[in-house]
Amino acid sequence: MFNGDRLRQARELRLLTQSDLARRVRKSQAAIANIEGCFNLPSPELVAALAAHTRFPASFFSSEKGLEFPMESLMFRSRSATTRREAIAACRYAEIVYEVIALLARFVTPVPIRLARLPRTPAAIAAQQTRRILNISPDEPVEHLIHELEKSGVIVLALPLDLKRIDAFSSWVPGTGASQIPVVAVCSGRPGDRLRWNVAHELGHLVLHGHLKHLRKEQHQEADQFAAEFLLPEKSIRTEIFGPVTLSSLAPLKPRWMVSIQSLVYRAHDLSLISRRQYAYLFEQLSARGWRLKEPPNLDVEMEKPRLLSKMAEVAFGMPVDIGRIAAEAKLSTQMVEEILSGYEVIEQQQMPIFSDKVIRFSVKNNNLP
Amino acid sequence: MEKQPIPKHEALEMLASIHPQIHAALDHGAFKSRAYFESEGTKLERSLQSMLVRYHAKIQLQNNFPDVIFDQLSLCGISLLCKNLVWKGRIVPCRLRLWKSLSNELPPPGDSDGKRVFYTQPQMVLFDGSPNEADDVQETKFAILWNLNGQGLLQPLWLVCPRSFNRRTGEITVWWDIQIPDPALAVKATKPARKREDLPIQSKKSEESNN
Repeated sequence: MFNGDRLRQARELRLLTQSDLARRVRKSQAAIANIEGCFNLPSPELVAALAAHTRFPASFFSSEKGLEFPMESLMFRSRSATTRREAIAACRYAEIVYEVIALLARFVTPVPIRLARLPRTPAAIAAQQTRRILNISPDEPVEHLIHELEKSGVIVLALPLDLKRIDAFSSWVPGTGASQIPVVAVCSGRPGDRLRWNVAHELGHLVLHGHLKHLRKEQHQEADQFAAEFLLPEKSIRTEIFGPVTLSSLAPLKPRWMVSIQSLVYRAHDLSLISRRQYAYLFEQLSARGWRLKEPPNLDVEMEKPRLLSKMAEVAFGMPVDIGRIAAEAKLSTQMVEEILSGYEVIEQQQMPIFSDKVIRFSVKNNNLP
Repeated sequence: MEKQPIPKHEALEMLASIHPQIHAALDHGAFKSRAYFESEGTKLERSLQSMLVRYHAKIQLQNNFPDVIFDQLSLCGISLLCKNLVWKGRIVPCRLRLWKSLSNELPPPGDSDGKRVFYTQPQMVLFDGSPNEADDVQETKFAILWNLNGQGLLQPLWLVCPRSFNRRTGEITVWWDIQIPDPALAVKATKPARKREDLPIQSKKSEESNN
């Protein structure tokens, strides 16, 4: 049975309007709308054409649609139609990647969720508490942020989409029973430092605003405050940034803390380590050197990739990962599965110590730690 | 026979512990001078601006280089003698003068005898690392040229090795000059060395059999 929701999902993921798709398959916009609304069933020829133009296998359109990713957190920035369309495409892709994870989850044990929601807690304090909950040192740089989150049960979805206006988004999505799973989705094509900031910002939303449906400007500011304290703890930064603050004195802190020089300038201003004038002066210098768009390559921060999906695939189907099998089970093309997996880290067995069966693990009973 | 000076890239390396500090000090001075005019709400006055840059840079350098000798010059001029600079295992005394220059060239000396003397180092004897030359090492003179752009931001610095000044024609010659790289570009990013533990995910089958 053809599922209209799947057609809408595939179309939106490919950034096509109903009219765009209709033109390509030589039908009217109304015909596409009727198929998506399940008022009409497409002919087998039309299904083949729809599959070809959306680059999904025909079998995809007869499968049940899984999770609908909540888009509220993205709509804050979606004032223009283009941004709105990008936001929807990002959500649709996130749904697909999440479905692949849910599929593999049938074969593997889950990672216990340790993240706690801390609504109505000041952002900086929530960041400090989250570091504690995630077992991260209170005053050292977070070496691999995405790995720390994945270890704590946060699902990080790597979206192979390079969108102009959408960097990342997050949500608590329904798990089994009444449980909810924290999910962060990140788009590709961002520098390593910006990716880390985006992930920390989304972590802030999960911790502080998990209970809210709509996010406003103030909540995004709070998430930024959370990210600042989480990535650059005040206690440490006060001892590492001292006068006279210049771009060259901040530069060595970038590889250490793995954030952009711009974030360090913001943070220094935030903590009143520099005046408003000095802040403006430093930003003028960044602009004059072209570093607002691209910071010097010698200071590049290594790109972090999530690991969860490739690890699940390795455990479920063995190494090398059987892409054909995943594609068949998920009703996706092998090309799409490859594209999705390319956003995840593959680690040679020798590189990383395997979590031993002999290690005793303590299960966390209460996910909502204080 | 005239001996050749130290090559410019080696000179930069030799001064690697000094020129980033000079850059930072001048940058700080540039900020302070701009802040002065902004806070006073007065029109920018170029000569005062330059003097404020030098004044704040000098204070900064004096704090950072306690073992360096600073000459007393008028109008906050900066001249420093690094007596303990070590290069290739030897002490190589260096005298550095900092000048504002619009064209990245040594400023004409005018009537300044100090500048004329500084520009003259024809018998350039510089340490090239071979032990038999160590005794020849004398004070070496370098100039660091700085400038601000229209917004009062510090421009790239230049290191200049002066050679001669012709009193008759007023011509200044240099052994070489080289732009000093931005210190931020010399910072090396290091990869985290610690190995991470993989995610604790197991096959459900193996977990059931373990139980």
